[in-house]
Amino acid sequence: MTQLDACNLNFLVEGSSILENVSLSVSSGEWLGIAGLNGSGKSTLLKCMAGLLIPSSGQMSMDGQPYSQVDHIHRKLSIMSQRTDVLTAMSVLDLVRLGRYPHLPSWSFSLSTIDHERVEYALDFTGLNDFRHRQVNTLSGGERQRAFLALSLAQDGSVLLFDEPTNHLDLVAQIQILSLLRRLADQGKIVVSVLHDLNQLSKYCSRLALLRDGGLVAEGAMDHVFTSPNLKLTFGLDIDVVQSHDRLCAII
Amino acid sequence: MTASMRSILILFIIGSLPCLFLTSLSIGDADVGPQQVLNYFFGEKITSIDRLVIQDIRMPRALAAVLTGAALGISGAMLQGMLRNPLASPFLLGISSGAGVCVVILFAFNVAAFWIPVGAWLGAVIAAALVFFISYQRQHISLERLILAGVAVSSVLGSIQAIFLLRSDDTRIQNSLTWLSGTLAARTWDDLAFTWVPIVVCIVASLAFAKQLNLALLDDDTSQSLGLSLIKLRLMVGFIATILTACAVCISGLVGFVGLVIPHMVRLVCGTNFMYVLPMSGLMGGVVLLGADALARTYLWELPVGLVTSLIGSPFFIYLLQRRRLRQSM
Repeated sequence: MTQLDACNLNFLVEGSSILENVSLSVSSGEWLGIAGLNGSGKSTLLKCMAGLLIPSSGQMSMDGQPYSQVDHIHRKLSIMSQRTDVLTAMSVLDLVRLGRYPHLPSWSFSLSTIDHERVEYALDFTGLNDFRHRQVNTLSGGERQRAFLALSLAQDGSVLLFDEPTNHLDLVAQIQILSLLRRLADQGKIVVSVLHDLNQLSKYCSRLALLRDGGLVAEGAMDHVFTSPNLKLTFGLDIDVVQSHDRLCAII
Repeated sequence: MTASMRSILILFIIGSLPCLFLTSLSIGDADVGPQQVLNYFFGEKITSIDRLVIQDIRMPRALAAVLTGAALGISGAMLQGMLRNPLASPFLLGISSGAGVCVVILFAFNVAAFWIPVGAWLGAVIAAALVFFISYQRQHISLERLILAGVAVSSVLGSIQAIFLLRSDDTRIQNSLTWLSGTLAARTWDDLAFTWVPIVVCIVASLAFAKQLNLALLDDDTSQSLGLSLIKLRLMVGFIATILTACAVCISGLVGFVGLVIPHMVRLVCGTNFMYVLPMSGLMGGVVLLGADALARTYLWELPVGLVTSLIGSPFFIYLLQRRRLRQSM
């Protein structure tokens, strides 16, 4: 069981506040969706949660320990950014193998049996077995996104963070990626993702954090946060929330 | 390319080095051919003049070609990986213009020849340090700032170099231009004495960064999430590449295109893994420069080796660009 806590995060850039007193927590098996307008601080919050940005004040902790005191934190946290390009003609297999880097001893240049098993599992999970020798730059957007998801999986962390994982993908590819993330959450991973589509948020995520101008509008279980007043406060739009079958739907 | 084809090509490149080395020792104005060279290596009888030609004239030159080519090849591969830019070369960070301006100034003031390589080395290192200093901001070195700082520093130093060239007399201009074109003519053991150790140390050190350079092919966020410290990588790779290039410049002047094209050639054969790209870039750099120097000596008059590498390198680079365009249009 892993728990991730953000405690009073503030992030300032040249005097202007990007994040203001953001506090939230997420545990194993949960999928936290982050939503808000452009410039509301979603990506900054995600990078703070990934340990890539150090907040100006406040702190991130894992299982009660500040990130700076967590052993081998790069084995536990992985982030998939919006950019899924690589410089050279790298194969899918070589890309996924890079995910094992945090597990390699500093003197070692080759992968162990366990490393190979994790790579194979990641390729299998993402359905990329037949693509392993293809160059990443020749893949379609959805396939490339799955290749980077396999890289995150090979890293074998308990926390997986995704910055707009369905960006620029067609509907089918979006559903493929989101279904894979749902399976990961069901397996006990912590999944955190920035998403723009409200109905995808309500369908796949178990928790929701709504941001506006760097501050939290609301955070908590989906049923409590995904309400018309909260969405109005976040987006400034009249959005009806209705119950359809077993989930909430947003109607704009 | 199939795995067996790749293995054959790699073996061919490895085998080319000793063959070209022996060829290089057998070419020159003096009447010392392959037979005398083989006699020299197998301890057979050889005249003292032949021994002098092989041991003190041609061998330092051939070794200078190998060391320069290896240094520029590895430096180019590291910088292309670190800067995430396939057009990066060892001279991108102001190294060539730093070395160039120092050498032109030394020639302009008629300073003793001994100081030319020392000045080149210092100029290269100071210019690269200046570029890194300019691009360092808030405990971070951005690639865009690094490249733009390199362009700006190169531009200023290039202008100073041009001013001194315009003010020099014909002999000094010719000396400067020969050096700026890159030449291995008349290299002696003294030219290698102070450079071979740092080159060998840096080549070995570069291999320790192969794993990190593989990660640097990814975007900043992903590579950092995998535990890569970008600031450390950029400083260390910048330092090693600068020392390698400065030593190469110190030996042979400004030999163009090796550092830019060799890593591309290697990636065509070996793929993208820096575990193979780095050593093979060193090996291929040595092979190409040995070959280019042998070609430079077979004309009626001797050409600077830097001109030969550029003359061969430019068409090859155009071929690579065409190949990429064809791939992208598929």
